[in-house]
Amino acid sequence: MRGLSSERAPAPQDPAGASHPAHPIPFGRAPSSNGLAAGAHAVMTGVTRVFGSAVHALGPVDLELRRGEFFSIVGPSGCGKSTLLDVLAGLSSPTDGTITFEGKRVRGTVPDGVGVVFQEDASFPWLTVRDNIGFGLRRAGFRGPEAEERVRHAIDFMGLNDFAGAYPNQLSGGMRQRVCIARTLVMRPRLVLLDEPFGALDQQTRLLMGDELLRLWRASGATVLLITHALDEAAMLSDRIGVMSSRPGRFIEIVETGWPRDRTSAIAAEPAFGEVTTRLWNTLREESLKAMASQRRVAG
Amino acid sequence: MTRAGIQRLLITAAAVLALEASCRLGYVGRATMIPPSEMLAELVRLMGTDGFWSQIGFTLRNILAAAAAAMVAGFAGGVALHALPRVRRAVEPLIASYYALPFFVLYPLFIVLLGMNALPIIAMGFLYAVMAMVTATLSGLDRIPPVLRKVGRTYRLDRVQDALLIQLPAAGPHIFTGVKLALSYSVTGVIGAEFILAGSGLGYSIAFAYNNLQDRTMYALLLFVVVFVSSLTVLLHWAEQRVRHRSGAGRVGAARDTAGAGEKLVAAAVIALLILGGWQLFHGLAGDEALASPAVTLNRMTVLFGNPSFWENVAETAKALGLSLLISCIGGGLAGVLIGANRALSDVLEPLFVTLYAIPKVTLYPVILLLFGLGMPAKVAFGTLHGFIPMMLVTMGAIRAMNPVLRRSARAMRLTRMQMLTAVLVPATVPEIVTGLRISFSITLLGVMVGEMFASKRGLGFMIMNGISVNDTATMMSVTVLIGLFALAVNSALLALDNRMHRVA
Repeated sequence: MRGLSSERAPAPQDPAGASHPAHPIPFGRAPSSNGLAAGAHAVMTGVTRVFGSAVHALGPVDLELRRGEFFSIVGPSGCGKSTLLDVLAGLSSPTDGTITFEGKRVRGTVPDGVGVVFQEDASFPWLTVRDNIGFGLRRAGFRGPEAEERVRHAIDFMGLNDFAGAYPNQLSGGMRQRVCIARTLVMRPRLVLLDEPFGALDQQTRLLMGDELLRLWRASGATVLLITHALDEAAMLSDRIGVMSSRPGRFIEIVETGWPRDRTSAIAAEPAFGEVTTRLWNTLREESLKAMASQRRVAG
Repeated sequence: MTRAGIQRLLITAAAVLALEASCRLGYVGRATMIPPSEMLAELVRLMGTDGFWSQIGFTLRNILAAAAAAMVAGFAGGVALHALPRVRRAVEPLIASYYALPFFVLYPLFIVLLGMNALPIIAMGFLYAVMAMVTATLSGLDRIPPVLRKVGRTYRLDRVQDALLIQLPAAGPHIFTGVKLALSYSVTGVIGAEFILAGSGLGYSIAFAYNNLQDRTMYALLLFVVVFVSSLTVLLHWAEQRVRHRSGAGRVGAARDTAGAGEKLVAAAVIALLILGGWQLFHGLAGDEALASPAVTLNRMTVLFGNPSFWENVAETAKALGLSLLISCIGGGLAGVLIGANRALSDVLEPLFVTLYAIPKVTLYPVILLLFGLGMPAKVAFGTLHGFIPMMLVTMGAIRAMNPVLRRSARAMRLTRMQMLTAVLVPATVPEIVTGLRISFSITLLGVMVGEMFASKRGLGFMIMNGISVNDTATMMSVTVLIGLFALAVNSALLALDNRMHRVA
């Protein structure tokens, strides 16, 4: 059995684009800026977040993201998953504790090398698909043939060729989310944070988007942190899954899946996949009941 | 052209033909109105005369100046208020009451401050247009999805970059609506001010023709105004639809007021002191002849309170306002529900009503007078002319925007059409109907005031007009302040109800 093992399966020698050889690789490998060996890429130590004086949303949380891994976080509604992502991204400051990314402290601003994809549709409605995807590149001073090539490859890779000149309101929800993912990944971030990016999509589209995400992850070599409420999604995509408690959110278990790096959504058919989701649900069920009870108390 | 557009053209053509037939067959007397074909013939003749285009040029220049100033100042005001939420909460009732105020009382002040030239007219157009731009800017900034601001931070944009690359384009469609409104309100303000107060321009030419019994010229000029305003409205509406369609604007609801009562009282007191300070300052600059001081105005108010004829005028205005509101709100609301319930019908009719409403209503006062004569019916007609269409449009919009699943649920429960109307459509749209009442109240009040100023010898509007003609600035200001306070009180109550309703909904 591969699932639930404590040791990770060895990564293939050349994983990039292995399952989709027909597509070019638009995002390239994330450059390792500081020469760190494989190991801790981002670290949260004793991080808490309290809103006002009464709402203790998160923590204390300790988390070490390994370079190049795919880590997912699941937890009951309102447990502070998105708060954790905001704090790690530098979109908000922790009340207590420290966060480092590639050895440098993160404090209230998004560090270079970090990309974020949000749950809501964050495409710019006034820009075409092509201009949306190229937004960050232009901002970073990339112009000319290199920038155009990166955008063109990203459009091709995401299957948006027929819509490059379209505006977001002419696209489906899934295509808009692909635009947002491409806009983030075309910057070649070394750490990609995804906050329930497929939350608003139907199940089939989610499975397909999950495959695309895996493909991108392999192609880029980036570290990925995915927040999701879908246990099957977490089980299918991740190397490790952190299960959070009800509010204030803390990690109550870290599950190692042990999947090979070149996995796809077809892994959902394997018996080990069922074991992972069952284990996640067993841990989460009680916490979800607690969260519902506390919501009822608030509503009452 | 779309199917709805063709239907609109046919309806307009049928209405013009019906009017032509009514005039030709004598159902509408020649002393009241001339046939549209004769209006057109007269307009063509006027276009060949010397003075026509210079008057039009004068008016257009004033409109453009007023609109440009209102756009710049309104945008800056909207951005400033958005950045200062406490100040915004304090001035919200003032903003809501703004259009109930008869700005024309300030004309003497502007003449003293700005001189006997086009500037006072431009100032009137500006005053009329600026608040529309402020509210549209606020509405646009409120509706920027929070996630876009987060995206800006992930790209480490500084404040200026964030404003230029994200906030401005995201708020763009609403700001464009402000530009559209500023332009069309400038038309109303400038032509209205020329009509009432000036000695040149298109509005003045209409008033001159009416006063000198040149009905053919008057109707020809009115036709010009109607065609000009309609074309402008259609053009702006088309541009607005394109901007909105492309950007998919309005994805997030507007911010709603959540301030405490104490904070509001303190802020209101500060604002009141600022207004009084500004008033005293302008009085010092312009003198008694142009603007009575706050103290003199207060003194005149106490004198008026002891005068029985003042209370007769109040009763007269209250009656006219009550009747106008009754017709505007109940009639407009009902018409809005009925038309809004039929999507195809509302697609056809909505742009027609929007265009109709954009015509400067003051210039229609000769027509109202010819139809109703001096007195209560003309005043009520004037009030209704102002308030009916906004109430209808807001209600229609609310019905159209209703969650479609509610309608499908009603059908699944096999409700009759009447049950659907009373049990689903009306309750689901009550918050928007309250918004409609609030907007309609202010505009109806202004309509009644304008009606009393021109079509009556009684009422508070008449007192203001009388004050203007005998240069009694103390009475003029007293009545204006009282109307303003009344509008403010009613609007504050309706705004509180509006906010409450939208929070519940």
